[in-house]
Amino acid sequence: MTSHTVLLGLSGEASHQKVALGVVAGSQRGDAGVPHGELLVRLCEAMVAEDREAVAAVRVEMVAAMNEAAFVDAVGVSSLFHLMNRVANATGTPVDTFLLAPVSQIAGAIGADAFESSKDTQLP
Amino acid sequence: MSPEEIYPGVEVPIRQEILESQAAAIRHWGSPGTWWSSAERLSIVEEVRSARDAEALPPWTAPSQVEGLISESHPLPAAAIDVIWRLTNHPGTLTRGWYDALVPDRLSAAHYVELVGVVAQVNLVDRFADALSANRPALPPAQSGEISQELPEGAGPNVHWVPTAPVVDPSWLPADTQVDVPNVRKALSLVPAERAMQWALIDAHYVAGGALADNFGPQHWSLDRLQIELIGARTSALNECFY
Repeated sequence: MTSHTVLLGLSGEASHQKVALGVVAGSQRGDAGVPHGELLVRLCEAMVAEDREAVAAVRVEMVAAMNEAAFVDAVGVSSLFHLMNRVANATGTPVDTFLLAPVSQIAGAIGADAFESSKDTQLP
Repeated sequence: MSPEEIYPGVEVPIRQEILESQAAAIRHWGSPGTWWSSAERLSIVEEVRSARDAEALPPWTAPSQVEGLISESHPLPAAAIDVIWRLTNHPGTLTRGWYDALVPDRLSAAHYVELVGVVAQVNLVDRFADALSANRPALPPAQSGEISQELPEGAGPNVHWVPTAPVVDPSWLPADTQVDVPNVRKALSLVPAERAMQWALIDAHYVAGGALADNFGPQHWSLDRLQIELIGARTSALNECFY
């Protein structure tokens, strides 16, 4: 979560967008400053909850607002992170050295320091 | 299994890279592994599906200890079944103590790493299928052949719980050559075949070829990088993955 929240912030800078990181943590609703961000977050939540009706509902909205290819690619990205999260948590993978400083600045604010897997990383 | 055979009758535009990488993963499941046989690897896939579809167990309840839940003739050892269920249904609850109770007394580190690789791949493919309202891909027949039991050169303890090995892969091509391979891409390096499969799936579904810290530009596939990272970060938060 923390590495990709940092990358989300960097992507925002590159796109001149102010990104609301609270949306990542779930403490804030909305689009996070990301085009169609609210739909993408709802898709992630429905997939983790394994709520097929909710996935089907957000699919209709995404196809209307974006297109079918974007829905499929978004499903692909979220599915990939189901792989990555399991690999990281099951192997005790610590955050990369080059990301420690920015991660230390956001981990508490986005609630990541409460995760069991936070113990695998020694922050400065 | 060819890419076209994975999702018969599904009429949505699935990118060829996704189809090809998932087809490769499915073939890989039915092939002899490094430490698990092809039949055992297919049993791992089936057990992931059983775990996902079963009534939820609390994370601290080992399915192998629940009377009548697991067949006594199950081809996998109880420790493997317990890992499959915990990792599939409760990925945010894994602890170093849990790992130490499993490895090496109940599973070798190499068996554990290969198991994690396959379980994680199945979670990707099946969750993708479920979200598209498609049937989960059919499994191939078990391929004949022996397990290789090859350990990579230089393997040993490093910064992960599991031992890792140095990774040299020409597909890692960041623009800044000083950017080392990220730790999550090294996590399965004790079993190179699982590490390679993980990388192929990353490149097809997320951001290809080491562009992790390079290309924050607007368009990747049909999404832009902002959208991709929001999906990655939010999914990781929901799975309680600090990394």
